[in-house]
Amino acid sequence: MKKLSYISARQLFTMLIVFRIVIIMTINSILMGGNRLLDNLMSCAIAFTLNFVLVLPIYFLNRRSPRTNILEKSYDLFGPFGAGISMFYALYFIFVDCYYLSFFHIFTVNVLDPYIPFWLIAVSVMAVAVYGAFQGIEALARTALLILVVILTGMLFLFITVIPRINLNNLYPLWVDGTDQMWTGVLQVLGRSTCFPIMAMLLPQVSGRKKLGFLLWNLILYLFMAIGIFVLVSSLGSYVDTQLFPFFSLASIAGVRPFQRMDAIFIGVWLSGLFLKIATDLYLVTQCCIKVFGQRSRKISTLAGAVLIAGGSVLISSNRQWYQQLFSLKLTLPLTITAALALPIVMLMVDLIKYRKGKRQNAKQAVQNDSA
Amino acid sequence: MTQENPRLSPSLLENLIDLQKEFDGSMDFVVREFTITGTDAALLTIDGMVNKQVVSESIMNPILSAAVMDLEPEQKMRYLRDNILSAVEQVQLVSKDAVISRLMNGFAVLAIDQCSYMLAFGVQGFQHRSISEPSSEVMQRGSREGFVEPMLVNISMIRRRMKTPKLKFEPMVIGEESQTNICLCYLRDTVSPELLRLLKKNLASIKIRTVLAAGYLTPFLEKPSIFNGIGLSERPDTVCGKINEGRVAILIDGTPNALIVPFLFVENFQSFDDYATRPFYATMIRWLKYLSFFISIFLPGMYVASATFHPEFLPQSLLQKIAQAESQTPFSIFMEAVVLHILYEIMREAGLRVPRPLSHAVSIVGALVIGDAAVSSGLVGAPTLMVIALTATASYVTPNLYAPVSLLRFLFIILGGTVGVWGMMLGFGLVLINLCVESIYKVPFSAPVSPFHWNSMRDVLVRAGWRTLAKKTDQVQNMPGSDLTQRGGSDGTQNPGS
Amino acid sequence: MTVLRIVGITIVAVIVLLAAGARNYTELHERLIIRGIGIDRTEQGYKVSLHALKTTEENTTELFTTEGESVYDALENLGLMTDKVPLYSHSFLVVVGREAAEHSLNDVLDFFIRYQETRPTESLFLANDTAGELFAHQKDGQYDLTRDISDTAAGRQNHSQLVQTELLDVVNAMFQNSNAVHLPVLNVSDGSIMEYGTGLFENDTLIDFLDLNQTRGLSAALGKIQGGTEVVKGPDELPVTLQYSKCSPHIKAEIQDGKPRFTLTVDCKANLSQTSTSVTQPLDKEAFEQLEQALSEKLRGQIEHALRWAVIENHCDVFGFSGALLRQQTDYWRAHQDTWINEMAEADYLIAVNTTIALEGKETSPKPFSVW
Repeated sequence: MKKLSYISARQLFTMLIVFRIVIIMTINSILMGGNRLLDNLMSCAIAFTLNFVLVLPIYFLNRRSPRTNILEKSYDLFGPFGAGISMFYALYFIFVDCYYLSFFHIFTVNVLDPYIPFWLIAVSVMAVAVYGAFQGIEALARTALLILVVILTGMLFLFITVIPRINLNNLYPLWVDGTDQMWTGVLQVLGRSTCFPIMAMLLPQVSGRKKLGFLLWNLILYLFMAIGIFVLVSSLGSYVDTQLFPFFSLASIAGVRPFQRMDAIFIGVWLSGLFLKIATDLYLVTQCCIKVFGQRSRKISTLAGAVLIAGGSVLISSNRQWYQQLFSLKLTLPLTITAALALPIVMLMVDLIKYRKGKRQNAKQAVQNDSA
Repeated sequence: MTQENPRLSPSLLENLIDLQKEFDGSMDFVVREFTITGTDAALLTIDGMVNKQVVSESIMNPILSAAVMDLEPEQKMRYLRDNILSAVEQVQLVSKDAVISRLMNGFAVLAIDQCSYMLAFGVQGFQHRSISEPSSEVMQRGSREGFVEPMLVNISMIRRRMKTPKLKFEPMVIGEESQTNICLCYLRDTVSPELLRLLKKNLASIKIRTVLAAGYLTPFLEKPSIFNGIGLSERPDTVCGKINEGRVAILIDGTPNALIVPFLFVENFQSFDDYATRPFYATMIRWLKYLSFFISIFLPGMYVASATFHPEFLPQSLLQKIAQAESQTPFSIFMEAVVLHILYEIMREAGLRVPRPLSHAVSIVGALVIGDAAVSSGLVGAPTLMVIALTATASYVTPNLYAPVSLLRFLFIILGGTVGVWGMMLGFGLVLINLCVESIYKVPFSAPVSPFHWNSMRDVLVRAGWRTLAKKTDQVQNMPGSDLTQRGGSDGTQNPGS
Repeated sequence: MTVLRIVGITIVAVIVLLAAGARNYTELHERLIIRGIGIDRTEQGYKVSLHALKTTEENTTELFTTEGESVYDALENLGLMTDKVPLYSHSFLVVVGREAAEHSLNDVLDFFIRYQETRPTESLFLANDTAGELFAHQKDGQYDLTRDISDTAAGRQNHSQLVQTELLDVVNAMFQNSNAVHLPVLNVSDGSIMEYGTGLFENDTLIDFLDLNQTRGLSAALGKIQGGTEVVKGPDELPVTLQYSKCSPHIKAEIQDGKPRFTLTVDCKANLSQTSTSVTQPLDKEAFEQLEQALSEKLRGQIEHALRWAVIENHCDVFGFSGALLRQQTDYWRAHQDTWINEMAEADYLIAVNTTIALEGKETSPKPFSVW
């Protein structure tokens, strides 16, 4: 049997911070539901508080079977039908990466001068991601810390250089136009919470203080998003509503003396987090396929996953209707809720029922043995 | 007494014929035949390996002037060994291979007819380079001693610095033809037994004909990778410091370098001078090294990428200068960077190999041709030349990393010039993964940065003062993510040579 | 396997080299580094004047003029004309001609908001006549407008009679829906490019101007004043020159009798530059109060004139009163935001200016303190 790779709680949540930051940097007024981006400060506060509820099924599942991940648990509970759950998670991760990569495509096409074709960018990103996936979760976890340092250093530099442009007159009271945008923002943040399925798969391989890690992860992300939104609104004002990628626009205006036009920081930060996210998801896709098809499918499933992600994002991005569907909450929210909440709840309930049944049967058996 | 195969014959004549056949009349194999109270005897040496004066004074003169009674040959040998001969190091040999091995190592071998064993005496006297300052690891505050070719001298230099009986030197022989002596050097109570076991297993499995340099062994001791997982040092003080952290040093006879196993990535930025200077200055220099490392890898690539695909990154005045320079040259900035990089490597290699009398001429040609004529003739632009020059200078701040930096720099120039900043970021990701996936003898290569260990940052992010550093020594087997056992100590294996 | 791997990597590398930017890049000297763009309206569309850096000489600018049906169309024609690829990222100046501003500012600005290379930190100006005239103006054989990067707007701002405005400010003003857009006006006069005042806009159409004194009042009220001198009557009616250092405005919005009442308080710091009194007869410490009072009065008058002309006469809320209403009287703003443009003239406005003389140089006149 292949030896399980263990990572520390610190490493896991470092990875999850990187993944979340990559998607936070894509927020804009369209996705967040309106022109009052400041209202989404409350959205992220509510969403990150709800995370403590969302994580409960996965937490309890992990507590009941600390060394069994959700795929193995599905086989334990549902027998061969567990393969369906494994494939669902594999397809979910592929969908998520198509989402991320398509966003990247929109960025390259619209905001940057596309001097190289997108398919080549997709292939290059996937090549690096495949290499990372082949190296395993330990290597990816170690890389995550270095990338987080790069990301945080870049963002800190960006925020510091943009401080002179902060104008408090750009701020406005919350809920000026009602609470609709706030709730849309909550749903958007939840719909993009792809970290829960990752936790469901990786927690059995994690050692260390998971609860503390989860708490800090939530807090750091909330702070990052809150500070990011505050800086965006206070420095760009209503201009932020005209931009597809406000964080990129922020980078383009940041500057102190010789350090001007920090676009490169944004690109570097995003790309470094993106390939790590895709590499990790590819690794998880591989684990799902191994569960169904066996260890021999390791390499082929990684490559197949990569092809699907690259091909899918190129195809979707070339059709406006398709990518409008992809980025719609109507697709992302149900899928994420299913993967992060619904399936773990169902499995938890089935596990509890089976446990109670087993207990009753054991009690009956004990009584029979006593009477015998 | 040591049992080795095949055994020597009791007949002196047979042994001499056997040995003569082995050496096939080689001129340096010298046999001095004589008698000891009627019994034939011979002293075997390799000319040039022994100190002839010591041979005369401690072996021949005592034997020839001794009053040896007419005893059985074995008794005579015993008598000479215990009462007459004054050589300090005496070893009994029972096999032909052992005799040949000792002869090759500068021993004189005494053979007596009808005695089933021979005696070897340590009378080495081969010429070797005197101890001098190491050329590749120049330190301002450390000692001026560097390793030399004879392994024994190197051993003595380490022993002088670590006067503890826990310091152990374990010999091995590698190389089917060269029979090169190597020596594992470690602290018994600090080293991990697992590390030692793995290392010895790797060394024992090496199948190579000759070992003439440390680099011959390193491919067998680590997996192929961009960065070295096996360190190299010419300095005994550096080696002592590494041994103190639970590492194993490998001394190789004939090579003035010691291999250090395992060698982590952050150690490339640590030098002996860091620990001999004040912590504030040492910390500043440490960060300068990190900065230089990044400059030496990324600067040319970023320059090419910015000028070619992302001119918006450059400040206006710089952009104008570069555009002006580029407009007057026939090549693109990418080609200029590649060509200058190659030219620089050619010059560097020439500088290393050129005979000393010609080195001035080469310097002048390099400086004038590359530095002046190329720019004034309009073949290359001055900004590109400046970038390459700065990069080249920065790469020497961490000389251990010169080889990987040189390759990576080239890679990033190509990525930056063909794909732009995208390619560079992806290349960066690839390098990062490669760095993080490596383990050297079960210790993560990127430790203690990733996996992260806060306490170890006192010697990574900063160089803490000695009051802090002295409280606890970070042993390599205790690095986060390490699978090595923590308990130090020898595995009890006997030295095969003793 | 190793051979296969090497061959595979080589093939991938060749594909990258051939398919990517190896064939599709622009050399720096093939780019036209644009420093400033001027836009004038024509019968067919727009005429664009550009200053671009000459890459063969140091600090030399070339003038280009093109026409097209839209701004971008005209700029594209530039590429055909010069056979170079324009680079807009280093453009720091946009001048809109009077006719173009009277027609529609939106038509002009959309390119600068949308195009990936342009920056929201570009300074925007209005030409009293045509932008082409300003761009064509030369001094000492060089084009004056963009001659020195550090000179133009920042230098003129030191005269405090130019309200520095970036694209970011204009877009934010447009979103306020209160005719808040205003642009500094430049004019060619007496052989030099001089400030002329400030242009007022109704939505995105130019309607009127503030003169130089009113502009100073506006500049102070917006806190954008940096430098510039004012001569006031000191003791014995002798002139004293004061230099503006900084102005910090604050607007307090209240609702009284169903209508808004704004109190605009400007805290002004000034430095004493020159007096006309005798060197042997220094001014007393009471002179400070007198001078501060004089400057406060003068500045208050300028702000009042600007307010009357912009807000009351022209219904242009260039002072940001709508923003203060939004932040401080949100309910009122919600109810009146659609009619604010008409109602702003009916509101009450109180202006208070508090001046502090911060520095007086090394002379003892006036005496900063006394022994007793």
